[in-house]
Amino acid sequence: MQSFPNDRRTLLRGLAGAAALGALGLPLGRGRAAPPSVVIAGGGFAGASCALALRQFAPEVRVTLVDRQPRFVTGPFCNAVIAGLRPISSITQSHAGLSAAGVRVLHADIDGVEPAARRIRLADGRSIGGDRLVIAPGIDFDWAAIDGYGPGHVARIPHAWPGSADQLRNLRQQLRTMPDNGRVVISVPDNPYRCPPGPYERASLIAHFLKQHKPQAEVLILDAKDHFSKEPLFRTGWGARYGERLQWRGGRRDGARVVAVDTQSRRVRTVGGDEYAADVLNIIPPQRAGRLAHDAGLTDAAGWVPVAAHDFSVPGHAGVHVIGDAARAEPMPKSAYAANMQAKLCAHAIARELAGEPVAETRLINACYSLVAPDYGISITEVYRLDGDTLAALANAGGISALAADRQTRAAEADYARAWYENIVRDSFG
Amino acid sequence: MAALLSVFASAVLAAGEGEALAGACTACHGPEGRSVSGLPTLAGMDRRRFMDRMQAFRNGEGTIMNRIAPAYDEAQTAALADHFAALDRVDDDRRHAP
Ligand SMILES: Cc1cc2nc3c(=O)[nH]c(=O)nc-3n(C[C@H](O)[C@H](O)[C@H](O)COP(=O)(O)OP(=O)(O)OC[C@H]3O[C@@H](n4cnc5c(N)ncnc54)[C@H](O)[C@@H]3O)c2cc1C
Ligand code: HEC
Repeated sequence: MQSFPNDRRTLLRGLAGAAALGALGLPLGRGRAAPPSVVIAGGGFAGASCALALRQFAPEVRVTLVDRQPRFVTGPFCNAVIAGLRPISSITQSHAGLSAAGVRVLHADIDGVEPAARRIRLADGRSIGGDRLVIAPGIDFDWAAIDGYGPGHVARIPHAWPGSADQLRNLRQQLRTMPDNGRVVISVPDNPYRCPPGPYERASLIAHFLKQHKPQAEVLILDAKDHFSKEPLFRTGWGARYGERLQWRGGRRDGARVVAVDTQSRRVRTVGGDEYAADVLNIIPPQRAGRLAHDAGLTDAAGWVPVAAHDFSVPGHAGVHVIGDAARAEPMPKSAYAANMQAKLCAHAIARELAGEPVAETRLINACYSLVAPDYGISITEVYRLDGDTLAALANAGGISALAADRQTRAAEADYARAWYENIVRDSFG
Repeated sequence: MAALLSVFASAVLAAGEGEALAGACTACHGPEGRSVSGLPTLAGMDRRRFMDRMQAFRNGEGTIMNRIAPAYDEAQTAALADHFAALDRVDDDRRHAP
């Protein structure tokens, strides 16, 4: 149990907080004798970072976080696991650090969220409410998008996005046991989806594995797009390291979007009518906001939740915030970095508003490292300012790594990529 | 515009601006600027050195900071420098943890 110092400043902040909630039309409770509370649905990069940031910015606020997974694998560096470059244990995280920081963590399946009541309904019938509700459920897959591929097929044809430790192990095992002259096919959806450069990093690291262990084998990317994240850097790196071993077929012109899968024979058909056979097939299906956001009626026609960027609140739903992959936060991409960043902005705004203080003007960053090879790192970054309720990337900052760079620079960025992982995990999960 | 800016600047200089800005850096540089990896620690960094490094990045140095530092004006960079300079290099709680 945490203690709530009752010095004058805390008391004043508490009163101001009560007044601020009143101004928002939120119920004040019993004269605000109890400290304000925030409940968070989902404890991935977004939900966990928000919980930690609230403990930092507003120690008097009671924070409860609910997630179904006591241990989980991260998207970041799951491609390195698939390629056999690091063990699954190194990307397996828990919420122990959140508990240590004073967050009340509950591991349970969430049945639904109720925006009007700012409440989480658990599958076992319990309900948990708060002065603020933060929803951070990540993504779900659009299983209707690809004919013949559904949730029942992931054991044979993993999406590994990242899914589960089992899916990562499974894909890894399939790569190890595929024929020496076999073919890996990766199907990539149109934008927006989780981690725009992720599929190309995956193809790179699989090519790296094949180059060493099955030099006759190849990787083929079938893409629904005709351009992709960090494309010039990936192409430069692929040319230098993988040659014909890694091939990309692009979308809108030649119709390389996969529309049908035959799971038994591991064959795919594209919208253009071409068929490809694979020895290892990795389907990354199109995506939308996690079911919780959708069921609560918060999503738009495309399946994502529109938010007001200054605090990631959901317009029309007082006291409700959506952060991370589920939110529509263009021009920010769906990344762990962005989820962590949005969580802090949201926590900062909640803390300030509860304390009756103005929200400070700030800058947001997104950064994504990718590995073309273990010693070849590349990056993209943007810095954003708030422009009313939207985000705008600053023109005088951001961009991709230099196209012409020496070995040392690429190796340094690969080291920084691994270092970034260690730090963001601490910054998000404690 | 100048009047608007100065009104804005005083609001910006409210306590917590450095803290809010720094939240954008710590996913790379570690919680509270204390890195647990090969990225540099910012906590406890001398204010002058911090400002000098940020200027060098604006002049093109670095693998990625050259794409980040130009987004911050002098006042914001100073707020960041103050924020990180005031933090201990080592977290006392962790250092004394059993
Ligand atoms: C291959 C790959 C590589 C990636 N590489 C990078 C990278 O290098 N850099 C980067 O920044 N990002 C990367 N990402 C992206 C990153 O993984 C996501 O952007 C990030 O996880 C989003 O965080 P989130 O909190 O929104 O969602 P998540 O991390 O998915 O968290 C959502 C949480 O909600 C919980 N949840 C959902 N519904 C329920 C329910 N009904 N009941 C209980 N709990 C529920 C889930 O258990 C989950 O823990 C990568 C992703 C992939 C797939
Ligand atoms: C994507 C990761 C990333 C982000 C985000 C980031 N940095 Fe850095 N920082 C680096 C790297 C890498 C270096 C080493 C220089 C280089 O290669 O660019 C560095 C170096 C520095 C240094 C020099 C430290 C020293 O001891 O020489 C300072 C100061 C600094 N960063 C400040 C910041 C501030 C302030 C922010 C937020 C506004 C920030 N950084 C955001 C990756 C990052």
